[in-house]
Amino acid sequence: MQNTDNPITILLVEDNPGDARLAQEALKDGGIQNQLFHVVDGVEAMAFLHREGEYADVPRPNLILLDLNLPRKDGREVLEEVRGDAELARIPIIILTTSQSEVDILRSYDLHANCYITKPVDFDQFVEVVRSIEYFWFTIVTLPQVQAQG
Amino acid sequence: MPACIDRAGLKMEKHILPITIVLFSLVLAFDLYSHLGIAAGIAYIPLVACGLWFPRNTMPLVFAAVATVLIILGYFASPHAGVSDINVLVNRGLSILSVWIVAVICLEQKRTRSELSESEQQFRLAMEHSAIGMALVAPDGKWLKVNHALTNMLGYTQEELLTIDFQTITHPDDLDEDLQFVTSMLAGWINHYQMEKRYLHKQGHIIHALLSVSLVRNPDNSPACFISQIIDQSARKRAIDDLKQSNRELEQFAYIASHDLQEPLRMVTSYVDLLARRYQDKLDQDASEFIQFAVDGCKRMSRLIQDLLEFSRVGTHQAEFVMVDSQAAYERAIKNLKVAIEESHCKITCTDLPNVHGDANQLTQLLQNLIGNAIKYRHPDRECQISVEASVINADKVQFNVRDNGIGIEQKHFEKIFDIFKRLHGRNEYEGTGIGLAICKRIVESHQGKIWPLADEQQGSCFCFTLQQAKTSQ
Repeated sequence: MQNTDNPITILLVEDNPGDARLAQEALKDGGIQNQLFHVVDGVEAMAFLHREGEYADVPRPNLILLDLNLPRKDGREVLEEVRGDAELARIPIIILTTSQSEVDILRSYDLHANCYITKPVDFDQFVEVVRSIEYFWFTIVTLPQVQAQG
Repeated sequence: MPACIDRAGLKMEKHILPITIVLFSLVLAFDLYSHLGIAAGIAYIPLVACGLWFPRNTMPLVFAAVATVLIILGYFASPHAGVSDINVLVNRGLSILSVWIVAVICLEQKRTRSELSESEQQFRLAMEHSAIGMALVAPDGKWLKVNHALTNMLGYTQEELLTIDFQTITHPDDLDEDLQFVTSMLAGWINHYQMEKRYLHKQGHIIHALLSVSLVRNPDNSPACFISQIIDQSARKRAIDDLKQSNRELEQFAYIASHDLQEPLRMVTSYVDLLARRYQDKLDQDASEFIQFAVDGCKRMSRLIQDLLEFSRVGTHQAEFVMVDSQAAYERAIKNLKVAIEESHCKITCTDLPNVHGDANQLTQLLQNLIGNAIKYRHPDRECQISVEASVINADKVQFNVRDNGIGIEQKHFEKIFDIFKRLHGRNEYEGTGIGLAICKRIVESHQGKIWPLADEQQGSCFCFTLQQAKTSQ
């Protein structure tokens, strides 16, 4: 069980500001303390994870919510890179995208995403999804220990 | 050349006439100055046959008349040399009779010949002036006779074509099928055949054509020649290809449009929703209602776009046709409708459902839509009963009937119900966007079938559709 003293850190990689805000609102409604970071493309995401430049002092996220279709570097590449990096490989990655294409789903699992969720059209459903994510990943599941900061 | 259209070759010029006159004169002289009074008339008989040399059919009769006159003349003018009168009379009479018999036979011969010639002439004209390619082909494939339309189509001259056979200028991929038909026809299993095939133009490009062939046999039943009619399909094929291309583009457009519409829709729906939830207590009655209408509209738009997407997917996402177990498709549909079935307490039965030729997913969707409709439009006062039956119509078709005892459909609506988004009931009575049947129609038609409601059934509805039988080669 997650220690509720430490707020959970979630990295949201999403280029659509509307969707990002929705995720934010849904997480707020969720009830589990969390610290949400948001980046808008794959390049920013990698910078964040490698703690480069403006992201020098950020914590390592406990969970990544990753959209697939992103500018500059898309989610598929980010997925591949994270999984290929020994330091980052353990972080659970949830693909949260509009695409329902078989190809995308299979590829994501092939690249070892933890799971694939299609964004629901309905906000209520979206809240449910986000709540489920929170509940599952932060209450039920035991996450690997995150390396200490610094 | 086969005997059936052999030309009558006898056609002599009118300069034969002087020769004939000379011959008649010789025979007359022979009759008058020799002493063979008895058989003198006989010499005229072959002369009557000269009538055959003249183009006019009645010439033999003319000669017969002349011969008769000369025989009678001979009776009076030739020396009788001791033969009694009655013998001479009888002999002359018999000669005249023979002359006329020969004349009539020659006349018949000429008439037959000229009828043949005339019909052959008509055939030749018909063939030469035909707007479509026509040809006579030997049993071994060699071109025997070809018309202008065909030579123009294929780019060869008449002389060039007559030295080769049809196999030489048939596209290799179509050759086997063509030869199979030829073999069947020579063997007598079929009388004619038709096929779409490709010829190779002299310049090397492909000519799409529609070929119709029949076989003419000799009186002893041996094959005489093939009669082929070849229609150039190039223009038609181009038009069809253009149409197919246009259809594909339209389908893709519909798919992409509906797909891209979803994102902005999602924004509107989600945020209106969020507004409703977050500011519920801060809103007055009016604002609440306004938001409710907006949310409602969004939900409906979302369903419409989903349905449009589904509709356009029928064309763009169709898998290759294979053998499909329609019983399995039926069971999948039932499984998908499990909740609806349980809630409505519907009883659904089916007969043995055969294998068909098509796309398994689309067949499932088809059955699911029809059965789903039957459940949705069940009669409030009756226990809902639905049956799915199938029967084999003929070697290629299977007909399915989905019957229910629900509220039924009036005959006057039969056309409308298959239109996209056309509904017979208000949103308050029954939910739905009106695309279910349009999708069914699209699926059935893309499977080369037909779908139709049975005429006004007071006790419910029955939808029938046909599909192709599973191909035995699979």
